[in-house]
Parts: sequence; structure tokens; C-alpha cells
Amino acid sequence: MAALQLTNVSKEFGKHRIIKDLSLSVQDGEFVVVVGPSGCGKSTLLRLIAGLEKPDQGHILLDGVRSEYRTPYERNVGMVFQNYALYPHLSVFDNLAFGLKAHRSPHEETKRRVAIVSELLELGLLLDKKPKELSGGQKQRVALGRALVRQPRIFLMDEPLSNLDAKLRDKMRTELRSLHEKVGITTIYVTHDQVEAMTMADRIVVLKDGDIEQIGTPEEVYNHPASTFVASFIGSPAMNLFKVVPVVQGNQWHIKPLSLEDKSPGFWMPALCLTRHSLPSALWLGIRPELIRLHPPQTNDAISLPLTVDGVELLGAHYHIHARWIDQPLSIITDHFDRNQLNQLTGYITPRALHVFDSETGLSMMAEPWPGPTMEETKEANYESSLA
Amino acid sequence: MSEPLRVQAIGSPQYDSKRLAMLTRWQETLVGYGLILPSLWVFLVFYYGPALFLLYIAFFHWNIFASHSTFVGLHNFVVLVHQPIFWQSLLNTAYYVVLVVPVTTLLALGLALLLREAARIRGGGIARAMVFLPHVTPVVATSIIWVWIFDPNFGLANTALRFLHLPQLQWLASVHWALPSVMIYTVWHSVGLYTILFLAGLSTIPRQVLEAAQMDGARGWFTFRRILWPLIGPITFFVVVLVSINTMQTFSQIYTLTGGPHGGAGGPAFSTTTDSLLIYQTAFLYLHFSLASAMSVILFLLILGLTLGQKLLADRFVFYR
Repeated sequence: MAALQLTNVSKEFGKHRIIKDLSLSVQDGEFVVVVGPSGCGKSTLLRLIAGLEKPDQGHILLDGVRSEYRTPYERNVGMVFQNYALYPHLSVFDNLAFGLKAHRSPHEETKRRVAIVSELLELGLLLDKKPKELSGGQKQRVALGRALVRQPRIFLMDEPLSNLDAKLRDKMRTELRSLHEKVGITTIYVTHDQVEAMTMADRIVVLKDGDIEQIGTPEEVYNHPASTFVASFIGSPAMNLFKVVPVVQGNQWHIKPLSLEDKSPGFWMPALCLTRHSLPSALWLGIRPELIRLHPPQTNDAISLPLTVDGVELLGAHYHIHARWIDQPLSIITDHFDRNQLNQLTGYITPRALHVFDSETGLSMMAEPWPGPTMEETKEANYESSLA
Repeated sequence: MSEPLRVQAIGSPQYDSKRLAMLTRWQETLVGYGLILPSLWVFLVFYYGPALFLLYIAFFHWNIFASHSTFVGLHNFVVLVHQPIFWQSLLNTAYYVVLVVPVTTLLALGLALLLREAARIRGGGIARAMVFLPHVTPVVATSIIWVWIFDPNFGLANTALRFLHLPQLQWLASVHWALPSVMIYTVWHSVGLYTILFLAGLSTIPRQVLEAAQMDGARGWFTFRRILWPLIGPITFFVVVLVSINTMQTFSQIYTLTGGPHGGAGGPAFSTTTDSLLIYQTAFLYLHFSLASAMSVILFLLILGLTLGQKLLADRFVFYR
């Protein structure tokens, strides 16, 4: 049985439909990250699960029990708020013990449970302090502890890391994930940061305008984005997308960029297996920045694109090359490149690395998504470019 | 072709701010005082001047018609201490303050909590305006309405009691009920202001903190006792100090409700003679300005003492974020 099951849930605020007919099933012990741009309804979704908002339509089942009219406490969910929302006038101990005291838990039991949590989160030395004496990371851990101490069935986190500085955020990502491994509580984690989604999730739910755009493991979402929205939202720099005009000739497509149809020679590529039999007049072609190679690969189906380079950024281990194919901006991630190449750069892509999306709906048109680059393939791409 | 209009004022902001930046600290201080001088002198002449003069005549035998005054030391205070009416007025004031302060504060807090909930429904804003409305009415005008409300024969108060089958009261005409009647009016007139202050205080509590308490399973009284009450401590302290000071100085409604300009204010049988009313009567009815001044000094010290006491309590018990 699913730990959490949402069926056709809708929520409106005034005229705005924040959540649109959303269905989602979360398995016991899963770490699900809901990711989307601000205003996509992800916080509302979390508040609906928490019981801080009531859905206008649809059902919320927790362990199979209809819960949309149960209070947050009855649902036995713990929540970590973005700004921690610690009780400012209470010590760390009292913050942790608040929920237990509200329900007249015996004093010994309260102390025991607070002790367990404070050991787990290394809060032992902070128990007498007030929130304003704590650093951001410490407040974060107290907020986690407060949600954990009641041993919730489901753990809800609303952008818990967004108030921390970059370094601490990296550290807390790992800590949160290892905490999850330790306690194994089903977790719904909301963020706008695709890095958090990619690094922490068992499954990612990409939300757009109150609707689920795609659900899948980080690999699935990254390698088989269901739409241009997912493709450009997950991954940094974003997937390169070109609006092109395909012409079918036998089992080949002739591809031209939409904007410069007349002048550009375009390129040939093998026809891909699509969900639709007829090819629309225009489509989006997508390619990940790290899958554009700067040296011709061994395969004979490689497509070469003449590029103009606008600039190069060093990202530590990688370079981010800002280039253009005719007039279409394009990002390339590479480990090495030859500065002498910059004047006349050619990018090589294998057709297998291309994504095809419907130009109107933005939805993926790949009937059988190619298996996606394995770690080895990505490495190979980098290795080849390193031979320069 | 006309050139675009150019305005080059001599004291243009840019010009002045450059000049100001070059001023020394002393010059800046002088400029600052210069700027507030126009309103400062009004205060000096009409507020601090009379106050200092009051302190002066409290230790003198001073007559508004006589050209000179004689120093009498603490004589005025000694005379006061031997006046039963002085003690009566202090007692009345204490009775008045001890009841009005907690009732006003608690009622304002209760109304604020209700109005905060009402904000979610239609008409919440109107309810808020209605609670605040009495405070913007002139005391003298509404007091006259309340004289009618408290009328033993035709008043609304007794009509209401009759309707509820409760014993009727003589209200302002009764030695026991006259001061409580004034209290009722005062609470009605002032509670709106303090309600708004409490509402402001409640709105500073982050919504997420209350939601966290909700997630923790805290409800009604527990949430109020453990979250709301401690977090609005500073506002509560402020309201208590403000109500205390205002009630210790209550004058207009007592004067209008219990007698008005036709005399007899403070009755029946001095039951509503509070210290500020007695000060007024001593000075302007009996023309004992020195005695009235001495009383004012005592009242000032009492208010100062009470406020300092409250401050000490607040420092100990109020949580400041």
C-alpha cells in the first residue's frame, strides 16, 4: 500500500487554480523531491499533504486512509518550514518537546525522545539555547528535530535549504540524505533547485502550473525528459533546444533551423522512432551541453555543426562554451578544448543523443526513448575532447 | 523650437546633501536642532514651561491674583495629607485603575483574537472598524449619550436589564455604581485603540510559527498560552502601560458624566472624585493653585512609579524577539 496517495486533487485560491487535478502515489520509505519554478504550486501541494490547506476536490490517502479532513496532527506528518519557524521564545529543548507537551506526553518519555533526536542531529550542546543564538545550520537541524521527535509517518520539507549559504547547503544535502537512510521515513521534499532534486531524490516530481509534468528517477528525468519544460528545467546549463523544420526523405530527415530556412544547409540525420506517424512541420530538437563533442567521434553517423564561439567560462573542472549554431545559442560543457579551435569550432553530435519534442505542446515525441548516455558514454565524450 | 525647461533651484537636494556631508558633527547637531526649533519652542512655552512652573508653585503660596508668592516648603503637601477628600480621590483613582486596566487589556486582547479570525470572513474589516469607531468620537459628545444610556428611568442600560429580568440600577446616581458606570464608558471608548495595537502585535507573529504549532498538534488554549501570549508580550506590556497612564489621568468623561459644567462633578458623595478631577476642582473651582500643583506633582510621581514598576516586571517576564 502506498504511504501517500493523491487522487485528482485540485486547489483554488480565488480564481487561480493552483493545483490542477493532480494524482501522485508515494511508496513507503521513498524520498520524493517535488521540483518546479516558483509559483508552480509545489508549496501548496505540500501544505495540502500536511493538512494546512484543504483540497477543493480529490482525495488524499495516508496509508490508505482518507485524510483530507483530518488535522495535521491526526495525519501524523512532520514538516520543516523554509524559514525554520522555530518558536523564538523557547529553548531548543522546548522547541523539540513542544509537540509532545501539547499532548501531555509524560515528562520522562519527552526527555527520552528529545534525547534520541538531539543525539541523532548532534543538538546535545544546544538544548538550552534560544533560536536567535543559533546559526542557520543549527536552526535547520532543530527544525528537523522538531519534526522528527514525534516520529512522523511522513516527513515534509518545504525548501529547507534555501536559507543556507551555498557551502552549508551542499553539506546539508548529504546530511539530509543520510538522515533519510538512517530513519527511513517517507519524505516529500519541495525545492526549486534542480541540483537538490537530482542529488537527493529517489523519484523526482516535476511540477508546472499545478500539474505534474513528469515523474521519474533522476536518471529518467534527466535522460528522458517528457517535455521541453523538463528538459530545460533539469540540468545546468540547460539542454540546448532548437526549433527546426524536418523534411522526411526515405529513412532520413533533413533538418533545418526554423529561422534561417533558406540560407542554412541544415543536416541529415536518421529518422527517429516517433509516437506520431506524421512528422509535424516544426519540432524542437534537444541536446545536452555535455553531449556535444568537439572532435569527430568514431561512429559514421555523427552530425557536424559549424559553431561560432561567443565566450568561454571556466567552471572549475569543466569549461562552459557559449556558442551559436547559425543563430541558435548553444551551450557546450567540455573538460578540455584547444584555444586555437575557437575561431573555427565544429560540434559533433550523435543522433542518438538528440531529443525530439512537439513544437506546439512541447511534449517529447520519442516513442522509444534512447537509453540515454551512461556514465561511460559521457566520460568517453569528455575523453575524446580531451585528446585535443 | 523651445529649449527644454530647466529648473536650477539654489537649494537643490544634490547641492544640499553635498554641503551636509561636509559638516562637522557639531554643525550637524546645530542644524538638526535648528530644524526642530519651530516646533520645539511650542513645546517649551506651552508644555515644559507650565510644567516647570507647576513644580515651582507646588512649593509656594501662590495666588493667581496676587503679584508675589511666598515659599512654604512642603506645607502644601502637609495640607493635602490632612484632607480626607485627597485620600478619597486617591482611593477612587486606585479603584478605577485597578479595574479598568485589566478589563481593558483583556477585552482588547480578546477582541483582537476574535477580529483576527474574523479577518478571514466577509465583513471582517467592518467589524474591525466598528470596534475602533468609539475611540475616534469626542469624549464629551459620547459621554452625553451615555448619560442618557445610564438614565435610571429611560436609559438603555436599565431597559436592557429589565429585558433580561435582572435588577435595575441607579447607575450614575448611585454611590456604588457611579464610578463603575464611568469605567464602563471608558472601556467602551478606549478598547478599540488597544484592540488595534494587539492586532498589530499579533500580525507580527510569523504565520509559519503558528502553523508549526498546528503541525505539533497544539490547539486553542495551549497555542495561546505557549505561543501567542509570550510572543505578544512586548505589545501587552505597552498596552498595560498606556492604559495605566491614560486611566490615571482620566478627566473628561468623569466631568461630563457626573455633573458637567453645572457643578456637582465627582458625585454623588465624592464617589467619582478621582485625583485629576480633584486637581481641576481645587485649581479652577476653589482657586487653590498651589494645592492643585502639589497634587499634580504627587500624581506625576505615582504614574512614574507605576510605569517604572511595570518596566521592571516587563524586563523580567517579557520576551523580546
